[in-house]
Amino acid sequence: MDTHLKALEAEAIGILREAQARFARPVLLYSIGKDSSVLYHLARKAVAPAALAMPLLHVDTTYKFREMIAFRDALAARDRIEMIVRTNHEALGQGMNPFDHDASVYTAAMKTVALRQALDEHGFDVAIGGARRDEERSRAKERIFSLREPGHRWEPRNQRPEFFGLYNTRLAPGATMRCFPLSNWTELDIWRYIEAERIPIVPLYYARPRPVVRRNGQLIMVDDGRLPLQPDERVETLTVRFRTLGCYPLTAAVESDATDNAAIIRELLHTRHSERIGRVIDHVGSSMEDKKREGYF
Amino acid sequence: MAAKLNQAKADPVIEESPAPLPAPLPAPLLRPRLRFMTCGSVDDGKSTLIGRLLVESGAVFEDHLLEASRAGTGSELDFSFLVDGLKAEREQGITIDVAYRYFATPRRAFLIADAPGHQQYTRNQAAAASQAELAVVLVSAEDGVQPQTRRHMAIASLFGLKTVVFAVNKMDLVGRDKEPFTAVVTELRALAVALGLDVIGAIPVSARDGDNVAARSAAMPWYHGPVLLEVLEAFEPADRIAGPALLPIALTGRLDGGGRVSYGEIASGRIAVGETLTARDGVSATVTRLWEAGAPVSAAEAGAAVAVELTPEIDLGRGAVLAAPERAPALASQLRVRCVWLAAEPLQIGRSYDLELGTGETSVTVSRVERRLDLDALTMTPIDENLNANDIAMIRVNLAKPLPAMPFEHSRQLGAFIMIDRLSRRTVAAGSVLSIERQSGDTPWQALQVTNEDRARAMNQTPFVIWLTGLSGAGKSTIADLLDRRLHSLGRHAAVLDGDNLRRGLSADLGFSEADRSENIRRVGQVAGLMANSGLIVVVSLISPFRQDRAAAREAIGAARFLEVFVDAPLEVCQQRDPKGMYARAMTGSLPRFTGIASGYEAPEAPDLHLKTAEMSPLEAVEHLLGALRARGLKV
Repeated sequence: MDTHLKALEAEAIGILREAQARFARPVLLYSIGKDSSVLYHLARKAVAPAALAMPLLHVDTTYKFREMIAFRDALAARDRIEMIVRTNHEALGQGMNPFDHDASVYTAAMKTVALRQALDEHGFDVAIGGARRDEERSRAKERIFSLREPGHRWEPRNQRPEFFGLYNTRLAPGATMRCFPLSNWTELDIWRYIEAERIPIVPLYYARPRPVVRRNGQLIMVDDGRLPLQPDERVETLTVRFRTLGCYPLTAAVESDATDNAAIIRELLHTRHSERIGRVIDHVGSSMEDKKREGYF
Repeated sequence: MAAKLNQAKADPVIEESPAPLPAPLPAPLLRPRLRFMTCGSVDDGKSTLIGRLLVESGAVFEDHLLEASRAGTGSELDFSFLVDGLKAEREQGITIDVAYRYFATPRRAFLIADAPGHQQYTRNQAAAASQAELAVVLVSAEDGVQPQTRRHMAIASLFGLKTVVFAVNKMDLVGRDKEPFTAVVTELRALAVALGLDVIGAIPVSARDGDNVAARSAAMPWYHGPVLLEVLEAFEPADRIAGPALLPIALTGRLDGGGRVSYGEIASGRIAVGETLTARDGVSATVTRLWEAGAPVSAAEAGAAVAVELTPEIDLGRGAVLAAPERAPALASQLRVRCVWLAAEPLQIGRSYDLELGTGETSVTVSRVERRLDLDALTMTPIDENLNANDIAMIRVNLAKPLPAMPFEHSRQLGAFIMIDRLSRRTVAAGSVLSIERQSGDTPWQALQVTNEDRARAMNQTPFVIWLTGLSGAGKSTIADLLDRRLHSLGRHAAVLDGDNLRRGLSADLGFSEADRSENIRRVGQVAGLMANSGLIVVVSLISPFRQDRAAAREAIGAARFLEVFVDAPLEVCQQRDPKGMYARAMTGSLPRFTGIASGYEAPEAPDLHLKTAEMSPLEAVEHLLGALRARGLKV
């Protein structure tokens, strides 16, 4: 591993240790994506040779790619970890789905609300996530330890300054903390680290022939029979991969022939589009910032 | 060339040529990411420069570029759109915090700690500097060095920054000529020398047009040095491995098979299996196993995230520091520090705050504020008022529990701290340790053989402190003098501590801010107590406007030998008397913090004696006083 990656690794481990040392009930937010895979890998390293003592939390919308769920279950079984899976069944029961509802309404119900419920129910005081500052403009100012007011509200003006890598982690009753050990990593750093450490990730990141439809200029994978097809839509088999993973109807694929980490790294060096361009939800004004204010990760 | 291509297309053999070899993977980055910041006045083109660096290194994706060109006018890119983050800021047209940007070249990765804005710039600059290894100082060739340029550089240097590179921007507006560039650089170099900053380059650039940022400008042939990006790529920060082995413990854990393991990041030096490390005086152990980032290793260096197993198992908690023997950091109980005050509420002397230093924490009280940065003169000047938000000051803090600490210049990890308000839980200050003023155990109480009682018996009197408080002109000095003469004539051993006189010596270094007044009263209280210990009857004549300070004096001296006397006259009477001409000066504004005029007086709620001097003569007042002393058992 090169010096740059080693320094990033040491920094992330240091942050994970701070979260462990300073909070009574930490939880690792596990989205099954590549960043979560790196985060989980680092969380285990942070306490090695002892075993990881915190649970993982997955907010499952039931519209994740099937391969993601299979990967999650295999990982939990392999490492015998406590994997908390949380779904907003109430919203599902009321007919919530990603097809008939606006992406932001759907995300609020299935992800934001479910996450808040899980954190409250288990009394977690710090939720450790794999968000990176380079992902999205409003994240450039996100703190490594990010305070959430009671009700999980993110108040940009109440965030604490972070001097000298020292963190003020004190919480008022009802407040919680979010912690982002990968804040200073870029997408390229993530991939180079996955390659250097041979970290297993969901195969959807690697190019393969997959059934897709073209919708609003994006490639949507037909992962199961629930995706309603428009009369003019035709399922094609294209060699595609995903730069980010989420709910399959809301996550666009890119055409690619990158079948391994090295090929993905080469592809990244030449790509001219950000990774979140495949996220249907991000492209309305300052939507990430608005989501965060409501408690989205 | 075109002809050849056409020919090739027609040739069936070439059509079947093997697929092109994949492009090579990026070369390993042999140096850690460089964290740098920018300093400069708002109009000097900082956003444009940062946008330019991001765009030219390919860090801005097309979808973001598209947004930036939509935000710009005409075909021009709005670089600030790439750089400004939050919606609220875009709407208000201001930026309020440190933002982090990332880009990389084939040789190195970079992080820009961008502290923009007019508002709160002191705290933001300080926060950015605390995370940066280098500053790019941006100055407009047209406008020259601005007051803000000087301030930014000064703040950065006070928060750990050692090295700068000058980017003289807007060369396109001065005809890309050498003379204006040289003039600006000469001024900047003098400033860097004054602030103790190393200069590793001075580059004429045009961020707008891209001259000498990433690519060499053909329009400035007189400049032969490296372009900005080359300087950034080549910079080597100071080596942390050189120092003594220091490992602040962040976390401890237990292994499944039993045994304890301690985790932390090596702050300096190198640690190897088999070495002996010291935790504190007389407590050492040998490293039996060592892990770096979870994998077993035989040795590790500064910056590594390690876990250690020690034999024998010693009691180590978070906040402890493992160190090379003989090099263990001091256990500090009083620190002299430099900090930026972040809270809207002023600093309060004597109030408890929480301190986080290294991986340790304790509560602290600020014992005094010594100096404050004058942002115009750029010097630390003695302070005569309270610390407010964005003030940078030198203060002393007393630690409730001693912590391992070192001066910041010796260890960034053990010499930096934050202070937290215990009620609001906000970070109220951040800064660096200048010196360790007192260590745990280095000032033990000296037991004295001759007791206070022995001394009092030798003088044949009961030692006592009579504390006269009240407005200037209320009659304190007159009464103190009369009482002193009376006691002397009675054969008693007495002394007067007069506020005005003490300010010429004991408290000559103090001003009239609330903080300094508190400190003055604390000193007088201590001295009065010591004099009473040696058997004297002490008459203190001091405005002492604050209840809390008088209560502290009573506590320090001992309530049994303390008489609080309220020397009371209406303000109009005091102003009329004005024996020292002070009210006259205060009314003209030349005494900005004079009690009664521009600063409050908190009257005693339940004084031991209340003397209304408008209604009695000084002699009568003294008789009242002697009566009160007799009532307390004194033979006077």
